[in-house]
Amino acid sequence: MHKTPWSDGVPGLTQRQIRPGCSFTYRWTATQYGSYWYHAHQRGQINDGLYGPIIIHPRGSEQKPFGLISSDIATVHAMENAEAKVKPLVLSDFRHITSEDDWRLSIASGIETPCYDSILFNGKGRVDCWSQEKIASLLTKDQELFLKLGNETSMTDKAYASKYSTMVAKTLT
Amino acid sequence: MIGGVLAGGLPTNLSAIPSEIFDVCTPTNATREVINVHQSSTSKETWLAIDIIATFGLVTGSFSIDGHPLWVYAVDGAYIVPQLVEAITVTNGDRYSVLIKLDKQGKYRVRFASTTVAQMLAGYATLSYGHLGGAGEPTRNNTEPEAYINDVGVNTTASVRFFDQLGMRSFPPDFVSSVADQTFKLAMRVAGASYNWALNSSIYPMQLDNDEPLLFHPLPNEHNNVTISTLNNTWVDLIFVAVTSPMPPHPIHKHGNKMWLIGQGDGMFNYSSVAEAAAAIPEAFNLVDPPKRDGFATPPAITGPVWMAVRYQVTNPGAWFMHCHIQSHMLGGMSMAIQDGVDQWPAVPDEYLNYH
Repeated sequence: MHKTPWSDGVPGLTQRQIRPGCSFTYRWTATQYGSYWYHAHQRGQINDGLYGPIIIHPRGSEQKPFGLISSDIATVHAMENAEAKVKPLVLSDFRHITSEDDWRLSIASGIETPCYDSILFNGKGRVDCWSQEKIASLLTKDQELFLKLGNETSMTDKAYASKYSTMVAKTLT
Repeated sequence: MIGGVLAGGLPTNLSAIPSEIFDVCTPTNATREVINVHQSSTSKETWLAIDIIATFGLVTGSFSIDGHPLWVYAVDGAYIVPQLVEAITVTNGDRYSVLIKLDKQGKYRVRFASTTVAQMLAGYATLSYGHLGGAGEPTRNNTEPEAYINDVGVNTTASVRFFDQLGMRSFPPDFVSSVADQTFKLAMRVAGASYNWALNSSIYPMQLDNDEPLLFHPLPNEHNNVTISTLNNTWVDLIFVAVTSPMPPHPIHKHGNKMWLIGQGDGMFNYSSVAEAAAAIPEAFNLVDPPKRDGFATPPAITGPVWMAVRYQVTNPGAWFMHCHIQSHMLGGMSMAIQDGVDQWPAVPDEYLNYH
């Protein structure tokens, strides 16, 4: 976003909010190549899924580093072909509660509730529920410490280190 | 009850939290992503390029594709000296461009597993190519390569290489100034309720979102806990200090330009500038060829304070946001406004100025 700060999309800082049913045109010049993304900057709307990938292809004159991977001209050519057809792979964490409902829950309960439901690849994925045996077998040292702080012995069925543990960790601050 | 005592003396009401938030897991059977590559029969070899784009609201974790090392050739949209790795630690807002050699047709798991401590969370997609590819997901058999990472993002063998952010080098090399014109020390802390966070001692007031845009009404001399101002073509150091512990990493994103990670270390930052600190603890700094990208996560403050120093050049005048990319931290106030190059702000076009 070079030289067009009014198209950066931060409410109250670079623009007025976009009201429901209204539109806003972000106009900017692609001065950089590479992979980027667009997303809402209004409160927690990233958690609601308001985002997407942007790919800007480099000019042919841009110096590429593929010659450092291989000195074989055919291989470098194959890499350049692959780059020209690059595919975005958007990785997301996803929740089944909306960001505004979650914020209301934080106010009502007095704690953060950052427990997620799934990991998505390009918007696709599913909720996997693991057995307590699997969860116990994967526990890291940091997680064991976390549980100990909360006087807990195991993660929940959502593999979360319990609300008590996270509160204790916070309260020590 | 335990909650009433714990949350910093502030009242809590854990009974307001429905059981599906933390405790009850209900599986779903939705489709997983399949990356299908059609190989050309004429070319000697096939490579696939993928742009990994991390939109995470919370987690940081490990990315890997079974049986396929990754050549990382660009980070946050800029070429680097390529690194050959089996896994990448991906945090909020990161982008990694990778090249993958497709030399054994079949179906392979693409994995992401969170390494954020509070919760285990993993997901999969499928990479499918060649005559042995096709629809559906990989099935376990004797010929399938082992995974490089497990479901909590930990490497399965000692030979698994992770992308080395501190070792990444811009391609072609770029220039970072050895000195800064201005230094801002920012004290990160929990501020008030356990869901309130400050990037620099005070929370960024939520009602500012509804106010008139700062870009339309600059405050050239404003310097406070949520606002800093710089002059165009100067070099600026931002020192993020986790002043209390334990504190999780904060993936910091500054809008408007890339920045260099020039140093980090344990303890409070008891210096007035990077120059002074680098004279006392040179091993904590790289002022020669530091990594450059759109954002950097502060180190975790486990047993005591930690700090992180980034440097940037003011070349893009405007009002830019700087914030922790974890959604609950940002909602809780972990943001600041930066008036970069406030001496040379561009005139805002009427279509934006008059938008209501």
